[in-house]
Amino acid sequence: MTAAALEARRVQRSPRAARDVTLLDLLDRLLQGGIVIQGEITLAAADIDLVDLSLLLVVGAVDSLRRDLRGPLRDAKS
Amino acid sequence: MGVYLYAICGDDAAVPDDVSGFDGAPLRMVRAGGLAALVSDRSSAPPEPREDTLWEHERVVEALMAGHDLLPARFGTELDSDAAVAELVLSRAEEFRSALAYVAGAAELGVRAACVGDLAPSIRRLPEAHAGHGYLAQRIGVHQRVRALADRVEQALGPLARAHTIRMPAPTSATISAAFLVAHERIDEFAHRAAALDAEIVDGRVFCTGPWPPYSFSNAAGRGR
Repeated sequence: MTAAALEARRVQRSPRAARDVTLLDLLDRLLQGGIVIQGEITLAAADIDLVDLSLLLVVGAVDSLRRDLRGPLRDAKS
Repeated sequence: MGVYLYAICGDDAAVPDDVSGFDGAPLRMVRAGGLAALVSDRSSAPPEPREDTLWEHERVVEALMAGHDLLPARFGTELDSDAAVAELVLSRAEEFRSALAYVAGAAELGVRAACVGDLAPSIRRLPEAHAGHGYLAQRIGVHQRVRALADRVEQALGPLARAHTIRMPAPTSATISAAFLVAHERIDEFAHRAAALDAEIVDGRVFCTGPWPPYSFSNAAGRGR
């Protein structure tokens, strides 16, 4: 399976609202998941408030998320 | 000058040839202890987390994932040199090998589920003396609905996965976030089941994303976030 095939599958499986959710899931995984190395590394994201970052990154998705999910964005700020 | 780490995989993995690293830097493998680390050189400061840089990291990891089991590194992970990468891999070789065996042949699927509908009836309609009580009753109602939704997601999708983690929402939220480790050959089945669940649940929405590299199942501690 090629990377392009993976990407195609992701898009194909994702109706519009779910594509917005994909960005939130990307954030969650890359900034809070994955192997963590202590010591010599620089964690670029360490000092950034995840909620603020989410809001910055998904500005384009805000409307549909609010409508479809009543979701993490509104909740995060309420 | 630093070395940016994308993922750790088995020593048999080749460098994916259809992508490059940050700033167009070529991807390389640092091999040590029967494992390999996919890296690229960086001459500037670590990448800031933005939508485009997050996807850049993700595309590199996915290109490797297309042919190999791997443990994705958290975004922004940099080491001083190849020697430091090799030292890291050697010092945690056993942990990485065991984690690789755990995620072998599987990918991560994300599931977000949210209660929708009349979650927050205006408490202003209540007589003032009862407003506090009404608010609490409403909060408990929301909590029960979210709990029921989480149970339903877990029951429907859990059996299709090798492992899963479900994060319950903050008290002010009605959205749960879950990660499922699913064998490659069951990914389609999983996605169809998630879509069916979305259709079945009248007062909630279920969204499935992925397949992702196993970000939520790569850490030794609990194999989850």
